[in-house]
Amino acid sequence: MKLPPLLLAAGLLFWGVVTGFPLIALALMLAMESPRWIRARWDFDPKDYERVADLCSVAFLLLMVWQWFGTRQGPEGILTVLGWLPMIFAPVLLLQRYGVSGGVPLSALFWSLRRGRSGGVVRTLPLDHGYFAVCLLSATCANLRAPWFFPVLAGLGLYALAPLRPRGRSMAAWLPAVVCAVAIAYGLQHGLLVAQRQVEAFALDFLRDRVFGRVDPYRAQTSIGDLGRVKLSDRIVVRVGGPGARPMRLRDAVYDAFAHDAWFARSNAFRDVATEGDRGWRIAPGSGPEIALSMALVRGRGVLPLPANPALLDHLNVSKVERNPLGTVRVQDGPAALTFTVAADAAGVGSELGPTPVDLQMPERLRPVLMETLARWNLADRPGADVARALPAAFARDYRYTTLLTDAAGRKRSIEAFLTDQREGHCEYFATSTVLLLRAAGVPARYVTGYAVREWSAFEGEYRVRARHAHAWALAWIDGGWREIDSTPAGWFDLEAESASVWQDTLDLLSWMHHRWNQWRDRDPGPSEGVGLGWLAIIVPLAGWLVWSVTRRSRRDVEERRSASRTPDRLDHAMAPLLARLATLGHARDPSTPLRAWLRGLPLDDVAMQAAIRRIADEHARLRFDPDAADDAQIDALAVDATALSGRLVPSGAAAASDATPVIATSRR
Amino acid sequence: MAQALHRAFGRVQRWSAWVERRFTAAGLGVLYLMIAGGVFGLDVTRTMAFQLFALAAALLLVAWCGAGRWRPGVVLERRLPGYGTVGEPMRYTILVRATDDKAWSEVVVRDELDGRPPTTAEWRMRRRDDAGANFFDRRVGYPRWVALIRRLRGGRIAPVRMPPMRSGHESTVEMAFTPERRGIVRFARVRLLRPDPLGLINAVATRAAPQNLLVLPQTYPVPAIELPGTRRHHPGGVQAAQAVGESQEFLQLRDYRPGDPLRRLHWPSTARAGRPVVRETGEEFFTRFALVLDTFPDADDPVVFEAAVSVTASLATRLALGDALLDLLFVEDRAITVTAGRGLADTAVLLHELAQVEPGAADFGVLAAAIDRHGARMSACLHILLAWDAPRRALVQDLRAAGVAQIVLVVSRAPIAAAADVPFHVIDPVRLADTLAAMPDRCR
Repeated sequence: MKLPPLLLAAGLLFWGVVTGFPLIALALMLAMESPRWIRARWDFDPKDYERVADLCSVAFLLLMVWQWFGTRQGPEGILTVLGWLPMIFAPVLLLQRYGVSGGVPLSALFWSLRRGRSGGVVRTLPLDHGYFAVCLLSATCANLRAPWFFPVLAGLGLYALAPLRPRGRSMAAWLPAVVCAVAIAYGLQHGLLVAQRQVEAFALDFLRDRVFGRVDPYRAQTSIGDLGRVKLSDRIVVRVGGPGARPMRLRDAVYDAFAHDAWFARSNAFRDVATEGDRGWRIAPGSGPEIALSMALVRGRGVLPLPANPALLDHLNVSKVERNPLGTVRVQDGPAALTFTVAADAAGVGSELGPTPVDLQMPERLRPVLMETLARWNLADRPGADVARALPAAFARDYRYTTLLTDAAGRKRSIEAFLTDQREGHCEYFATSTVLLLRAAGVPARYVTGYAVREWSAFEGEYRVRARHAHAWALAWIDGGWREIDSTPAGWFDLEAESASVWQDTLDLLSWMHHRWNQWRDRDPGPSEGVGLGWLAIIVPLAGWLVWSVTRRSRRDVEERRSASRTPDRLDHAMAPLLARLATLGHARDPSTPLRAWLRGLPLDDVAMQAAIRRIADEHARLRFDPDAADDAQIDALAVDATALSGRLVPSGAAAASDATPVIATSRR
Repeated sequence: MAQALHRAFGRVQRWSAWVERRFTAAGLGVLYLMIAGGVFGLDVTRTMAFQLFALAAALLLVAWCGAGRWRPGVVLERRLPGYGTVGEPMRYTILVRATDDKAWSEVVVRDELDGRPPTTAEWRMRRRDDAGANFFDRRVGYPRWVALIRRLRGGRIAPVRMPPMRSGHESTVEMAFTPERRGIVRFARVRLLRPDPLGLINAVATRAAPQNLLVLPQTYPVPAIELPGTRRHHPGGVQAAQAVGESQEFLQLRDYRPGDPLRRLHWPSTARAGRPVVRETGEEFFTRFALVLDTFPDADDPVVFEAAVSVTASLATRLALGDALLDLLFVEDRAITVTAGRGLADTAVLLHELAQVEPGAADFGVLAAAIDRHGARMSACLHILLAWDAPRRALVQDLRAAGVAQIVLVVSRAPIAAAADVPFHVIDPVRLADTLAAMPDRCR
């Protein structure tokens, strides 16, 4: 297929501008298009192509592996490497552009073709169009959302396709087809955008409901009213370390409205958290000892479990941090394994939104039960602070923790049943009842979900937080600040621990190894700073070796060719005095007579002379037809012999006087 | 699993043939770009590859519509040579005559062969052909499948672009074809491919053009073999021979006896004697060679059988017969003997027979019996055997005992230990040319 003028340059320019490598693109453009003006071509061996292709492939694979495992990007890193493809595989095309074959041997692209190579015809494939397509694909991986992107992409594509127009088809048929195709493509890509948004919205809604409901910052579906048993895994979801690490609670999300056995966040408008120079994201004034948290992020986004009164988030490798008025913090565009530190002001009162009328609302159907419960504990007319202090003790005295979602009779639980006759349940019942009882007592209260940090690992030197350590508690507005009220009986943690798997230790070890790997990968200074130099350290020597090997072989070939072409010239030069002398003696050689036969047939009157000239003829033939055996010394020796012999030849007197073919005599000098 | 793969390969092969027909080289490039754009642009928020996908898809859609349905008025006539030879490039022509008033250009002619699909057993059997393939291809075996289909069809004919055609004109397109197997190769149809205005998708017009071509086995240079053998008595001579050896040798004149053929009457003596006198001549004695092809291969290795056929064909074309006869003996469902020499048939007839020889359905005993029947008249025998086991060894020993000079060639991949009593020569089916060149040129 014919390559339109400067197509590669256009593709590279587009790629360079989009991906932010304009200088590299310019250098590649120059290198790729120079063969249009430079006539010199090199006769590269198929093995040269294979070596270069192998080097590029290895570099590509290593970069893929590194981006996947060695950086914070994870699978996203593949897209980064795809964006570098024109750079990585440029050497292969450069070899083609500067080679004489006009294509890349298929053996460079397919390993299987290297086996049993017979040294016959080398099948080649021009890669220009493929490289141009790679430029376009790589440019799209940069994800530049510019309005000019599509028109330029379409323009380049059509420029590449223009020479393919069949000869018999007129421009009048081609142009409308092209315009039609571009219009359809524009509509299609717009439709894909809209469709993806709608599908994503639907899928996220579905996942929120079914999978990630617990950490939805807008709504918390409790298990109140469900049947069976609360089952949570032993998987370690958060690790807590650093100087400020201690037994505590980590908040996932805070909710303020309760209806239909679910908690909702009415005040849910998330706002960006501002960064504080290089110090990270400032959530609230204040400071405290740093707590290091390590956790996993799903699809790069999620809600952060934080201690009470977080002040400053640091070493947080995300693009965006948002917080809602209730104090829930969420992040976007983070790595799969997130490690950061948080400084919490233990003495602070919290920067969350103060109490609102929503914080006092409760379902009217529950009001009698709540009031009755308060009355039972003699808390009906007590001040709010007293109620808040008394509730945990009251629950611990009269209620029992269980993960069973039904009572002994198999009946479903409800808040009413929990408070009146069943008097057992898991943390959601205790937390919800506490919030509602506080509200019934006139204390603004909120519902909090998160984790209890209690399990210390001496091996890791950190606290482990497992999925089964998920917990719920209440926040109460007391003395002008939000205070945590945890009414779940203290034994819940040990009760949950009894359900631990027998494989827990093994799984913990694997989890720790994975965690350490993530820590190493995300160490500071980040690997992205060092990776460039590291790659240069590997690639530059390899590329240097390759260039040296190709150049050395090319030079050797040139030398061999020069030597092979030079040998006959030098031999002719060596024999020239002898032939000239013979010509002056009247023995010019007919060009159709082989030199050796002619020399051996010369009419010489001296037997020794005959032997000498025959020896020279044989030596000349040997050197002439076996150039590999001809070295400079032998050619020089032949020249000396021939010159010496020519000096000894004189015309025979008798023959010179007659018209007959002169017989050659030998001078006795 | 093999059955499932077998079915899947059939579908994939049909689909890839369809793609090859309908997409031009540029169209295939756009198709691959569309797939890559689709894969990397699946999440439209991550990359802009979805725009590449949209562009490629739109181009292909418009090209598809542009290609449309094409029903050209055309008459096609394929002109094949009498026969082809395995491995020998041959050329033939297709005459394309336009019968409507439309002009064409950039039309590509594809001539297609037909052949039965390979069976699962054949596909599994040809694992030896995987040498040089990578691990995945060896395990899955699709390239083997494609090679087998190509072989069963007899090869592949490269498409040829024909010059622009004006209305009512005709054009002769020269096609090149190198047969890859012997036997009957069936030419099935000719397709004309015309690209759309964008040059991405072909419109296809198909014309059935069934025709058969006989492909002769591949032959290799072999040394000129001298088969000494003594002349043997052949009672009654050879019925249809043009020349009858020593049957012209005069013995005596005698009186006519009822039953003597009239052509034996010696008219001058009859006239002189006044009674019928006939001429009595000597019985026929001449040299008769046998070329015996073993048609009982190991089912797992058809390459060996094909090599044996090639060896037989090479020997049949090289033997210096003079006035001797050559019997080609092999067994399919029954023993078959084809005689050449002395005007009965030429080597072309032997090659035609060898082009279509199939592995025998009977057992080796049938071949041994046939050779035994010929034994008395046979001067020398050339065996091309596929194994060196007890029955074959016994056959050779019996003939040796009967005084028949023999050359025994055993086509085998594995080396065979030499036998002290019966010398034989092993032919490597993979290096046929080399081993045939090193063959002995005398009977022992």
